[in-house]
Amino acid sequence: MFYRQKLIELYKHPSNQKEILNPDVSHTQENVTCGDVASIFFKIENGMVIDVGFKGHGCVLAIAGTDIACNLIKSKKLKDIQSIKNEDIIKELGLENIGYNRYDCVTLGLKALNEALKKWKF
Amino acid sequence: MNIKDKFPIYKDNPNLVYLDSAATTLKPESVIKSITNYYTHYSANVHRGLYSIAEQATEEFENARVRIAYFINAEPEEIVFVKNATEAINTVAKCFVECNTRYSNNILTTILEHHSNLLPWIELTRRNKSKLYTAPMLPNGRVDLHYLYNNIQNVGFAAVTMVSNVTGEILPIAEIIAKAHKQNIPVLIDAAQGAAHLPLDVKKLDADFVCFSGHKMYGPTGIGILYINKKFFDFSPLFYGGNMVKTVDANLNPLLNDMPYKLEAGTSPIAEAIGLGAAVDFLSEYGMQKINTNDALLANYALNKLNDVPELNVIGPLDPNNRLPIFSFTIKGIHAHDIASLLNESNVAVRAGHMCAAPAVRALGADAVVRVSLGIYNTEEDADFLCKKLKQIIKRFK
Repeated sequence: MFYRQKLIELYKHPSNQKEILNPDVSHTQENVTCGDVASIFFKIENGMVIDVGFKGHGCVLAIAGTDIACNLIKSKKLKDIQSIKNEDIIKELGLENIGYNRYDCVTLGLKALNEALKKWKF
Repeated sequence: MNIKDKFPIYKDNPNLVYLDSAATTLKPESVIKSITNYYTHYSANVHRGLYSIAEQATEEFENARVRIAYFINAEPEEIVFVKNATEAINTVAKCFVECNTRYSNNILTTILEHHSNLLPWIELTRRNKSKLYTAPMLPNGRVDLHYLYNNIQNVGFAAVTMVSNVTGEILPIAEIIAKAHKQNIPVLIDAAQGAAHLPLDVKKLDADFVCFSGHKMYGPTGIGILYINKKFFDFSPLFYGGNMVKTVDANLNPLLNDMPYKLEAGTSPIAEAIGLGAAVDFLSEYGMQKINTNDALLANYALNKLNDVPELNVIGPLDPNNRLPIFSFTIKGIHAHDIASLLNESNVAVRAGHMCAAPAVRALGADAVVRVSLGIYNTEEDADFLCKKLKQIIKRFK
């Protein structure tokens, strides 16, 4: 694994870090082994994500991974979101060989997103 | 000869800066060879076969027990081979403390403990609805010994660590045992971190139970020691079968073996026990006193170097006294996992997280920390290199 400076910049300035008031669906996911937390919120209209944001704290991979997850679902239909895989996040972050121990960090945001979706009545 | 030359891993990884010895130490060639020799030349079972290689295996296995006993000044029959310190502590909790109301009515421990010396007691006291007295952390990052001493009178058993795997604090175990014995309270000492660094003399300590893992003292994984003072040999086994049984009579009544075999059910980790024997030889040849002196110098040096990094916050005791070269720290604005991953890019191996001691880390005001723990092969140059890399990492986040 190699931390490119781009990744650190994404961690410092994530574009989707905002709380959405009165979200249609939200979920908070925690990695209990390290205390990292990501709360994800989205607004839905006609089966489509019209706004998404997250709040939380964690390592570079957790925050950058959550930000990327938000980017991947923007303006997407809910049924298409379900097909997003952990590997898509890893690829978008430009990471290779992240290793077993950091896998939970990168996928924290996607886990939050999937758990949030479970709460939505299709 | 440079001490690093005795560790083959440095031949493969000459640039490795290994600073995670509290998780597991690297293995010297003599330990690796002793294991390979067993598997190559005499890999028979012990205490059974009447042929030559079985005799040799039994001899080497029992000889390892004798040398380990000598290493901590115990009698060989007081040395029980277990999987690791965790298994040893759980065994004492289940088979000695829980089954005797004299001991199981309230337990005393500290907030510094590794989960392995905390959870067995949490579970036990919850099951029997008694109280777990947990000595808290003082603002100076050390355990509150007054709390510990004042509460001995309220418990039936005490279980404390010799050295914290988070802060490196060395606890005054001789004093703790002496004070507990004045009130007839037996004590378990978790020596998992201490065994590779500090001389252990169970007779001088008048110790009751002492546990440690082989892999944290230059030995193999899968082997640990449970020292049980002879006065507690009426210990019920947890597992049944194998060499712990002498025979089973016509009415299916088992006749159990003597100590320590009574607590060693099934085929033992033979190669690992022989490897641990080689590890204590390695430590004895190097000299525990010399290790102790080097540790103090290195702890002082590394602590000063870490304190020179302004953004870095060492948690736990800041003074160099009564501590091992084990340090945990945080850096504001940079997550512990990122620091560890970024150090790895420069071949520096450290641990990040809660160190399997979440209550201790929380008591020190952190969620996750970076831990640097030094071993016999580490030098001042390693501490210099670490701090240089930490400064570069901090710069990348500014």
